[in-house]
Amino acid sequence: MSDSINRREFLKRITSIGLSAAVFSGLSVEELSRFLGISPAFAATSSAVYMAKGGTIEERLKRVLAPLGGISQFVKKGSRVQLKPNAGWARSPEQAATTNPELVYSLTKACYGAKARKVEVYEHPCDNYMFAFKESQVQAAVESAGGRMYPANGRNLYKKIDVPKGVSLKSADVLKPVLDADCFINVPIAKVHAGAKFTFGLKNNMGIILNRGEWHMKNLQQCIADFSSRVRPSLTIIDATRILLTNGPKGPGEVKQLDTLIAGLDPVACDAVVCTLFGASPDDYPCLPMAAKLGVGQYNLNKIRVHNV
Amino acid sequence: MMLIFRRIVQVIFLAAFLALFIFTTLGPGFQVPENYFFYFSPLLSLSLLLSAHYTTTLWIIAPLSLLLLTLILGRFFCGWICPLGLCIDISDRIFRFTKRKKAGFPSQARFYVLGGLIAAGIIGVNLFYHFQPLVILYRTLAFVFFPLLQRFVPNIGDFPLHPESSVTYIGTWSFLVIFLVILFISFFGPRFWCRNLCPEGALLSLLSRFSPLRRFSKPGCSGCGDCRTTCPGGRNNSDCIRCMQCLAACKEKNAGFSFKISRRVADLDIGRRAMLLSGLAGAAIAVGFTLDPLKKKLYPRLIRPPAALPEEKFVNQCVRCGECMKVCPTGGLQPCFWESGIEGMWTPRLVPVLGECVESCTMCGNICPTGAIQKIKPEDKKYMPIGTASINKKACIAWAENKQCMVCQEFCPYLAIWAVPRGKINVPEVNIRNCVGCGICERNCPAVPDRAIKVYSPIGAGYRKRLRTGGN
Repeated sequence: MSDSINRREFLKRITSIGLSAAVFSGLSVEELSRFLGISPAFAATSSAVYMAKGGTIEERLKRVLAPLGGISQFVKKGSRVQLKPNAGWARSPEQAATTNPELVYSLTKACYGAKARKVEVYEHPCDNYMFAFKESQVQAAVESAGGRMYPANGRNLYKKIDVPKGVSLKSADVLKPVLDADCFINVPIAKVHAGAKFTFGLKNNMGIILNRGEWHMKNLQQCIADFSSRVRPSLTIIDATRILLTNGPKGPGEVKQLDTLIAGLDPVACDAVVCTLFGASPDDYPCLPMAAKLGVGQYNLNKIRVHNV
Repeated sequence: MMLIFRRIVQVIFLAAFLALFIFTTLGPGFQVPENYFFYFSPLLSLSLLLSAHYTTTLWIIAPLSLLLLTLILGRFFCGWICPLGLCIDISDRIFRFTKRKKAGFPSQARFYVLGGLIAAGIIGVNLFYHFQPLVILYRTLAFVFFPLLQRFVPNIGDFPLHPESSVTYIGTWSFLVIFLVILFISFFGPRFWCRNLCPEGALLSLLSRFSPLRRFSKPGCSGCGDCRTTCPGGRNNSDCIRCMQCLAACKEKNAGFSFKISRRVADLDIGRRAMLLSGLAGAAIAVGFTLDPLKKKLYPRLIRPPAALPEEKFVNQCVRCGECMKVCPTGGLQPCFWESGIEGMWTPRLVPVLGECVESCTMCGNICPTGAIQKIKPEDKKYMPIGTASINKKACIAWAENKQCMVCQEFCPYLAIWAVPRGKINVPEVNIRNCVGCGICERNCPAVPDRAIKVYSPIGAGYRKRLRTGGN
């Protein structure tokens, strides 16, 4: 036989080589999907979580985003980006009640590096916004990177949306800029929480709604889960540079330096992984099973692939 | 010519007053300008001296400099500087088109008002703020016009008018009514308030009569009386506000002003008996106020700003300018009405439902012109409790409905709420040792409209009992 092979044989071989290589090298579904040129929508259903430890914050962010295809996978040229850091408390970054300003700075820079038209931060803070934005240093971080930060205090900034899958929560007033954004990146800080046990990605979305008290009057955990079925961030990056172990969410409490960053497409999977940093199981954090039940994501740690990058 | 010049000066001073007013809010640099106009008021200085026995160098030098100028230039303050005066001038213009009623109101009444106020002040009851023009204007601006303005113009450029998206003040209408009355009494004559009622003007009149800046008429004057009908102050050297309107009114160009030192001093024309009566009336009102039953049983939720003076002193030393309430970044400081008795009318109190006392904010003390609220460092605030929170366990959704909530603990900056495990959930308990009464828990308590956690004031009636029972 000649050394040439027919087309069918070639395709067979190249697929098997590719697949086996992918499986053995531990390629994630995202990477594989990118490798095979499948749409990111498929990738978004996967529950891989990327965790980076050590190094500077900027480095960590790069490492964590690289397997996801870099920030340009999410931030297209000319798009409007909404970041949602936690800047709700008048606490310094060292007290670990708010998202690390360096992270917000690096992320804003990265978004502009990917040719974003606008990077905005709208935050409905718990403390008076002047003090919260100043003392958390998030505003300075966003603005020095070229973005803008606004307090979302005005009622006219919100739009009522229905939550069709909601069990307790049927509708919510959500920030219009977030709903209209091309890309919504959730950048919470990991800390314990007096009311909700923990606050990671899903809980951080309470910063884009108007009436938080209502959620407490209903079932808080269920409302958090319900809301996550309606508003899903394009990307979740959880800041665990410092985590707050006691007296959350405002502190001052015991702070632990972890120098860790967690990112993923599945908000529930990210939260479930962060639970382990606190020595807890995702089953202890009721909103995660609730959200998983609504089909938001995967909370079972056995089914989540954690990649240390 | 002189009239246009005067209008320009008036507008400049009103603009300065408004600018200081608008920028009396937390800016990006956390720098807040004080309103320096108040310091130049001899009446306010007098009120502090008499009723609060308080004064500072600034409170002596600034009013003295105005008094000195008055000695030279007469009552020019009323005609040229007073921002309320310009507002009244505008209302005068409106009423000029209507047919004015002539009122035979005695223009000496302002001296009687002053006499009554001084008598009350000596007894130790501060009533000056009801009549001081700058303070009246500032209150009206702060409580009536500012919330309105903020609704339509939330920010100037990037600079928000107020950190809170919408501020409201309790009893706005009452301040509007007072302001409108002052403008509408111009119906009975030009500058009716300034000529007849304003005690600040009366105080300046006392020196104005020695002023060498005098009005004269040239020998060719036919005595037509045109100047008299337009004159808003009075032809008398002590009544004259040096507005120079007579120069414009005189068709014969016979009126003029010149510096002329003369031994002839204008007569004040105050009846001794009437003066004595007004003093007695003021004293009687003051004594009546001290017998006020509301004062004995202060409102349980009368929460004073941090580092406010003790209640008795505070009520006397506060000039009710409203600057603290204007500057409060959460809009939580609100004017009192009856809460601390009639004497404490319009003093500031914290209404936690509308806004909390921010942990690191000391704006009210920094801005207070009289030291009724003292200047402190933010880190000292935790040692200066203004109240104590107390939980109504029948209304609390954790205690009564077994729901996981703990919002009060979430928000508390002082770690003053304990999370007590009870069954599957945590319930809140107040740690009264840490609680300073900032009210952030009350503001954010999801039990609406009647909050389950409320702050009670240590000076309020039944404080201890309320702490035990959660206000029931």
